[in-house]
Amino acid sequence: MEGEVTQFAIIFSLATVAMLVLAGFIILFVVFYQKKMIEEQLKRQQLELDFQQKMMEATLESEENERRRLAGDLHDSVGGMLSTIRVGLTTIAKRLPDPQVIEQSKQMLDDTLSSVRRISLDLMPSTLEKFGLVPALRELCDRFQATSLLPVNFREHGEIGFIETKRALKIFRIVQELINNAIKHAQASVINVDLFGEEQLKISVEDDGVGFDPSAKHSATQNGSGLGLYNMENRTRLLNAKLDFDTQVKKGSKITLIVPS
Amino acid sequence: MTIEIYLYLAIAQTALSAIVAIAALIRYRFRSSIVRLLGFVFLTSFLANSASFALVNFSTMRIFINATYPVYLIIGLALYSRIYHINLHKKNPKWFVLAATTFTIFALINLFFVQKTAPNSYSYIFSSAIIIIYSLSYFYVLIRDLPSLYVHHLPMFWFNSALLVFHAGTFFLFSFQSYLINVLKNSMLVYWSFHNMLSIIEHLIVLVGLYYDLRILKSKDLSFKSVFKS
Repeated sequence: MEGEVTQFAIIFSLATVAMLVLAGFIILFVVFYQKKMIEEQLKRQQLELDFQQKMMEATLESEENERRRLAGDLHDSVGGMLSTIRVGLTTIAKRLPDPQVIEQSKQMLDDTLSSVRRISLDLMPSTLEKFGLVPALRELCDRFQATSLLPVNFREHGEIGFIETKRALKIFRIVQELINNAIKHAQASVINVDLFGEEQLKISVEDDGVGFDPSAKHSATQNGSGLGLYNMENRTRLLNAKLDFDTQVKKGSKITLIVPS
Repeated sequence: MTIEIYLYLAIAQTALSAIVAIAALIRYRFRSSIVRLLGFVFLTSFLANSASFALVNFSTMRIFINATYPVYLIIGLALYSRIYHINLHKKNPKWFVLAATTFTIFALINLFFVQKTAPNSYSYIFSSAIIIIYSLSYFYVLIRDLPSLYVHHLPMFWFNSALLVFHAGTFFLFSFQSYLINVLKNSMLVYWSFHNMLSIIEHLIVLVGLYYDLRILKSKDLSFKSVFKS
């Protein structure tokens, strides 16, 4: 009987230890397998995100290239031809007994030429590529002020470090869209563009207009009606920046772009 | 193995059941239904142990002592069935109801007509088998749904591990118990002490899960306070 009990104790111990080891193995397997699967899932999501970001970047870059090509064609080809026509008109005017008869045509031609230059500059700001972001933004504010007859004040605070042209172009486009929106929709009497350059670049566009409902901004982006806003948010994401909306209906708005250095 | 050590282990297990029940049922309104149900399981365990301690001196109360653990098993399995019904995201509770009902009938027949005297090992085997199946199903759902990067932050992961370890470790004990007593005429003291040790480990693992649950509760409190302040 005692031998049988010992034999039983051995079988019982082995079976119980086996069950406990199996339970422990199952628990460890769940922990590690689950962790591995989630890491792979996260990796896949990151890859998808990278792919989307690259696609977005490529789309915006091809858009910029197209703008550059159009701006170049307008400036060099159409602008050049219009300048030649103007020289021709001046020559003809000298031969005419009364040069004043084509003065109106010359004036119209001058207007067309400046329009072509303005459109070309809007499409591709050569100042940005030649002199950098700050002069380009200053020029942008001056041009908006000249065309809209609204005071667009540009103020620079602190020293702004060097910003790579591609990044600068994205910032420029965002500010351009913000000022454009303020002029088109805000019914503002003054627009202030402030540039702060300390640890990070901060650009705020403030107006004293009618403001807007921030929730409407979100729905406009989602239903596709706010294409400008959508592009702005895409550019902000590509810059790893943040767009901060401080606005209330009838109380103006202040939109700040915060770009990490 | 002496009777004293066995008793110490039994008292420690009972005390731990009370601690687990308190830890699971404090701040009752804010706890998830899973934690509440688990609290009731351990409260039942505490009451069953306490009742058997209290009734052991009264030989006339033998039938009640015999009935204490089967009643605990029936209530426990019903509550575990509900816990796993919630955790396995099954809309139709028919399998869980069927398991709990079948077990209840089986345990009552075993108590009154088959084994009669405590411990009712067949009921323990049946209950353990069901809980092991529940536990493995939960782990399957866990690796299928991948609910969290750090699985050890989920309270249910700890509860489930505790149940799996305890029931896997004691499954053969319950399976051989009848043979051990009736055929080999061996004392159950060593084996039952082993059961109590595993039960203490189970309680400690459950307490780890409750610690994570309380941490989640605390972080919810903090986020609620910050929202309230802002």
